[in-house]
Amino acid sequence: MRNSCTISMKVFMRSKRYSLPYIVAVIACCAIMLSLHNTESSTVDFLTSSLTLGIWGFLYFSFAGYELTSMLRRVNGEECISSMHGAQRELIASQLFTLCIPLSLWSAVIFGWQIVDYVQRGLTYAPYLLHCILAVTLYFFLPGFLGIMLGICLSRVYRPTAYALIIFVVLLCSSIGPDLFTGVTIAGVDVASLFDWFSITVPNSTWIADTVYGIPMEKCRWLLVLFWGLLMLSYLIWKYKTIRKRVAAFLTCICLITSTLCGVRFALRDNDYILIKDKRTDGILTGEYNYRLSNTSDICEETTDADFVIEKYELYFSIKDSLSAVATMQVSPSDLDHYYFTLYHGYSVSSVVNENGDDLDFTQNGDYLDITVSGTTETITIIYSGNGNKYYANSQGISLPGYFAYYPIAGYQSVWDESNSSFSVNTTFTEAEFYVEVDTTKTVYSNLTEISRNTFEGTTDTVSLYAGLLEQAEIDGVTYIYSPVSEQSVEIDEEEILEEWEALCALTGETRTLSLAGKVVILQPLTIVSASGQNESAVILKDQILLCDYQPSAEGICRSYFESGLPVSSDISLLRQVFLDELFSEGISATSEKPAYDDLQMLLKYDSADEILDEEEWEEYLYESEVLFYELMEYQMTYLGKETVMQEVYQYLMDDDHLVDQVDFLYDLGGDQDA
Amino acid sequence: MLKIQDVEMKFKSKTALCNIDLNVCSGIYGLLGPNGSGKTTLMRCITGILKPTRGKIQAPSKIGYLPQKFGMYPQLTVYETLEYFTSLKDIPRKQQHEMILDCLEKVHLTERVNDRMGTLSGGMIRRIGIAQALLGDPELILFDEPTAGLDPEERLRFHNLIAHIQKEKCVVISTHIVEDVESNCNHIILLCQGRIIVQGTAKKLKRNINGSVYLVPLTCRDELCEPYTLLREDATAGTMRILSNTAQPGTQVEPSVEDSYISYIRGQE
Repeated sequence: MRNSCTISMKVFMRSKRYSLPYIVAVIACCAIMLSLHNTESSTVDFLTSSLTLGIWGFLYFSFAGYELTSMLRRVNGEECISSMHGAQRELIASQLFTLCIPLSLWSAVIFGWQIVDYVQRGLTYAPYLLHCILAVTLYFFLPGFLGIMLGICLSRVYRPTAYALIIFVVLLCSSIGPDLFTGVTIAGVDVASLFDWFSITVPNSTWIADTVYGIPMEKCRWLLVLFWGLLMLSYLIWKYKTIRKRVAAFLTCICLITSTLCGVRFALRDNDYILIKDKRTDGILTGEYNYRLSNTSDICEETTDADFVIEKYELYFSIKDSLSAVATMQVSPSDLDHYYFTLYHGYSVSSVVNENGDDLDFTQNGDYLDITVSGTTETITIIYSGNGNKYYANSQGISLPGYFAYYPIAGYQSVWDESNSSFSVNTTFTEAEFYVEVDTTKTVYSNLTEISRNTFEGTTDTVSLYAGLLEQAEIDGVTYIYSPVSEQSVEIDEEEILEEWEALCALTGETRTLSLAGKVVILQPLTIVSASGQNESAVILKDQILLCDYQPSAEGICRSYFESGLPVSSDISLLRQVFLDELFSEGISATSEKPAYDDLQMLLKYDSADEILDEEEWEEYLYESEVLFYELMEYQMTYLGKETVMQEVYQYLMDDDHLVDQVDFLYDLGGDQDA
Repeated sequence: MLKIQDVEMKFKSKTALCNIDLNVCSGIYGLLGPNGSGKTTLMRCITGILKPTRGKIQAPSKIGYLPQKFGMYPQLTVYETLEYFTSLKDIPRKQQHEMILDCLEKVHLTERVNDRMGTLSGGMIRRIGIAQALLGDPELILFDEPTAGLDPEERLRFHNLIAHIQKEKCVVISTHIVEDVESNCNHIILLCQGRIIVQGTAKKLKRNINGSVYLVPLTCRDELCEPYTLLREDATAGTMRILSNTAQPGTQVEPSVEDSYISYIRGQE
């Protein structure tokens, strides 16, 4: 075998046909890496961009694999080698091994550049280097290896056919297919998802790496490589069998069966396959929006507070390919015959039992769960499992913010905010005792106190769970949970926040206080940031602040906290929006002309689009009226002063009853200035 | 040494070999037959490249084989090529160097030892093929069309080489060139349409048609009595060689292996 390898290596090195393109490719790769190193904003972005070279590696090694293995046939040496028992098999194996050497060197170059980038950025998070090794292996070395195997499989085929097949496979594996067919469905099948079967390399445009999740390397992606690898291996075993036919058939069958099992597992990948920023219909970006479009009955804008409280939660999560949970809740009062909860529709409830283990009747409708109890019950245990799509949880990462109903919340809470086309952010949770256990290989971070590895307890309003490329650090008494490989600024200046907040309170008359003391600040993954609305940019809960912003700022935190205190209602929504926009805008656009009342009446006249047949006409009226409404606000601020108007409007918005319409209120503010 | 029992080889509906029974001991065997008679298929079956559809082949483990078409990586030197073959044949490392040089000497290519295979002529590559077949001191050596592409001098050298190794080894030469067989082989196997039609020494083959070969002047063509088979016409000598069981004009001559070969092949047709 050693001699065969030496011979194969000599042939490889001495043939300009292989060695020259290889040297050129590695030099070009270094040049590209250098340019990426200077341009990419974060180390994870650099890694992602580097891995896009995997498709070129695949192309080159398919070509080299074919050329090297088919050469013996072309020079009429095959028959002589075949006459020696096992020699051809040994030669093929040695050629495969030989090509693995330049492939390993090329992979090492890519990994070396990651180390350079890591050092130059001054990172000190060693797990990231392991992440890099795995990523380079999965998305560069293994595609190259599959390329070699493809080349070997095609060695008996004539050159034009082999080249055509290689190019076809490269196109299938590239991002061209998914890019072209995103959103295209044929007979109910998302065409882009068919290309997943060829996604052995990093597509260069359909995802952007997440600094917490890292490069997606879920189990099923390794299985996909194994699927193709074993499929080709079974072909090679059969083709180059030198052992008895039955043994060869047995080995081929074993490979085929294993390959099929990997394929079946890949077909059932479900949540164990997250394409970061994937544009497809069920992807993180638009998946929930599309779900809500086709399930309008699931949208509940108004919350219904529960007539019971949950005093204690015991939550057991097992997070493997998806989330499985056993949630035991101590409820009070215990004599109700109907308990109702909010639980995200992606989690399917399999059973509900009381403290005696008796099954309770339940119905799950979208995000809501109704449980009927006969007699009294102290505790309710809900067993469920599923996926959260945007708020993911699998073996590679966990991103479950406390305001998302991944465990049962008492009452009917709004989960989807129709007006903002984003998830609702609930901040009004009743405090309870929590005991949380998470079964996962990753280290889990939470706002609760950790009592042992991945086990938490404490009293709080809601629990957040995060895992991935994360670190926890305490800076000036504030605990931060953040990704050390992100370029986001971790530290938030508390003094700046307090100053900003005080100014806001002075301007509006807000009386709540804002403090970071004793709170856990969690910087959410960029994937969540990219798929989130403004309402999620900073969510301030009892003992945690969840920041969902590329660059969190004091103003953003204050605005979010301020917004969370303002009631949300359709009859004040326009004034609320205009108020917030003006409140956080710099200065005032002075205007001396007050809009005509009749023009503003359009907002009152058309309460809904039902009253007007032409929807486009309605949109136009609404837009014009909104512009006038902004002008009215600016007019009032010009004459009455920003502080007066802000305080008046704030008071109006905070009132429980709005006896005066929002348009009339703003129009009549400060009396008739014209008079 | 080589025992072939009732071997049949079919490629889909075509039968390439049929009821082949053969016992080969030491010596030089000539496998003679027209194109497509199954010589190469039989060779491939003996080497194990092809598995017969039916029958048994008992062959020694150490076989040297020169296929009809031989070549190796043009990037390798002659020495490296042969070194690779020694490793494939599990020849101990210590013996490799000496054995390579010895074989190269036999095929008169010692001075090209460091030349790349890609720089050699077709005939030289053929000689490298012969050298690799001799590597490892095989008990059975199979040459498929060994002299194809060799110049007359090299053909002669090849014949001498074969004559030198015949005593201790078993050599099977497959060819359709009768002279190659006649001058070297002490046993001839005549193959036609996948069947062995006759086998034995050259003497035996010739004996079978003894008294049936005539050398007739071309001028006596019209006097020939039917039936007869024209074996060869020599315009320069003004004679023709015919095979006939009836008395013919001209002189009766000693039959050659070629006469015998043509006689059997025509008989099959």
